[in-house]
Amino acid sequence: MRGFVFCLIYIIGFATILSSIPAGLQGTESSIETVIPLDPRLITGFSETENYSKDAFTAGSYEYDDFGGFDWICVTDDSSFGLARKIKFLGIFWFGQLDSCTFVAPDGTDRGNTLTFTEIATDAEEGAVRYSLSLILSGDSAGSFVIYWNITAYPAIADAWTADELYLLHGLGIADLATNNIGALLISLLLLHLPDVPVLVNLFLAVPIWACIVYVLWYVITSMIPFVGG
Amino acid sequence: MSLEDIPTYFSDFLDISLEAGQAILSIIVILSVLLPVMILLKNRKGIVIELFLFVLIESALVGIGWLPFWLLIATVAIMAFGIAALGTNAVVGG
Repeated sequence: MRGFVFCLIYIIGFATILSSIPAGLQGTESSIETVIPLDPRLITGFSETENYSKDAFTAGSYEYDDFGGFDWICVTDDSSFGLARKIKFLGIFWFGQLDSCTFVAPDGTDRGNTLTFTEIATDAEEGAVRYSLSLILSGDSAGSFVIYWNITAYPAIADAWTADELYLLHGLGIADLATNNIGALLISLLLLHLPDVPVLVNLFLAVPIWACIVYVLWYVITSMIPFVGG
Repeated sequence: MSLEDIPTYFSDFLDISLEAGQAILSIIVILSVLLPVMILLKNRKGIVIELFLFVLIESALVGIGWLPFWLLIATVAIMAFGIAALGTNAVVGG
């Protein structure tokens, strides 16, 4: 009985405390797929993101729909960018009307609705810059626009663009400060697949939990089925 | 220089590995908070405040990347062990 109570409290206590750890404490998302050394805070924290680069543009424009409930268009002349939200009649028909975004640099400089490569190069630090966006007509916030490239391989931003190595990210909203996905975390812990954790350390953490689970199961089975326990 | 970069400079300065630098700095930070509290709170109840502060500081250090996330899980496991031990005594008696 004593062991059963101990194991039960241990498992419940462990899971409860673990689930209360904010997701942010897990560190940077290991799922970010970028080969560029980049401050992850620039490109994380959004509830929605749209990533694209030169290859996505057709005839100088790239359109993406249903992003934050609206349709968007990014235009370029291979030396500058413009970003706008489509204004639709009755929310369905688009007759070419746009609500352009202004780009506000991290130091507060308003770069207007056309962002040139020169301005990006000026604003960027180590090949990355995050602009705040605001819509001119509606005055609403349009999230952030992150531009980043490998400054070691491409000191000039135009070269990165030509090589399709200039990455653009439009981020909207703020990711909820949700707590961890307790199920995924516990399963990965028990299956020795905890991210960024040495297997041996994971084993040390997982063994007591496995032992408790097995003991609880054994106790329940032997208690509920009398002839098993004898 | 941001808080995250301090262990890098520290380990470079001492010519030790980054992990060792992070560990040493974390211990310094934790002790610099816990020791004065320990001196101020000489009674037995101080241990609860010490534990609470320890977890809080450790979480902050994990948040700024000085300590790995698994260390927080290990702390949680130890806390759960303690809670289970106390809970068992309360439920079953002993």
